[in-house]
Amino acid sequence: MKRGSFIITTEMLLWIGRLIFLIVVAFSIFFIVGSHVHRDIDVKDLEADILVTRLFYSPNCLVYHDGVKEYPGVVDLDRFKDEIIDDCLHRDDFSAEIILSDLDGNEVAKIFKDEEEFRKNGHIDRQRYVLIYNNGDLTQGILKVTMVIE
Amino acid sequence: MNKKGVEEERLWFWTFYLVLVIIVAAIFFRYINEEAGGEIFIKKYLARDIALLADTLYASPGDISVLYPFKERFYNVKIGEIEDKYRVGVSTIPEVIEEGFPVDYFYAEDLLCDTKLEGNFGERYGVARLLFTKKDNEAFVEELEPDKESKVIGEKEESG
Repeated sequence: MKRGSFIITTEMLLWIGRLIFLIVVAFSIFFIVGSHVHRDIDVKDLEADILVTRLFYSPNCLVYHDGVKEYPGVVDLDRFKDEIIDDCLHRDDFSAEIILSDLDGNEVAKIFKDEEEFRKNGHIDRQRYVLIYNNGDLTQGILKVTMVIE
Repeated sequence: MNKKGVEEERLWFWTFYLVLVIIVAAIFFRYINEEAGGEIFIKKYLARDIALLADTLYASPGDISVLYPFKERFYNVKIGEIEDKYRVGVSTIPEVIEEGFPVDYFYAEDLLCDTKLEGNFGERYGVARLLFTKKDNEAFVEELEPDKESKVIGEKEESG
């Protein structure tokens, strides 16, 4: 091997070492600084409240309306369907199990929004007292929503 | 290779290394500056805040209008379908040309409304004020002219 080419090869090895060192140092600094200055805003609890409120406030969700006005807080059993929830809460990363029961805890009806996804993930629970409208009769009930917001 | 050639080779290596260090440092300082200056945080905040506003608007049992003013005219806001999902996307004016919407947040669209919330606002000068309205089962959002105190910070170049 010529003397010149030997120097270049050693030099290259040294440079590879330097590059690796530079990458390791850069990533370490990014990681250390990033983990300290990174700030996230978790609004999932607030979202859960808003989405549950929407269920029994929005005329397009579960609320009973008599053709003249809506009755917030009154759940219409005729509207208690998977399709209605899919449309009125159309969001890909949201799934839920919604159970309507009477005050003794007996289940009146149950629906799902994206059942498959719901089964896979952790949950946020919300429970609200509502009135149930069923063919002209009003009874007291509980709306229990167990949801997943990814 | 003679000694002069070896020296020349070293010089090239060092130049390359120096350029690389400058690039890494520049990326690093930009990242730190964005994080420390709160720019990413503000974008995340805006995306979530507007998404929650959309969720709340749809929850309203009656007609409603909400005015959403921006403190600075620096942001481009897109509401509606972004990559087939309903989201609020927020970007700064220079950024949107190159990267689209790097910060976004989901909201639940109401498909039973006759119209949907959608639009791309402040694309050129940054959005100043947005008016969200739900009326007669129609939901829409429009951009309002800035009030006199609004300050223009970013300006997107005209293209085409």
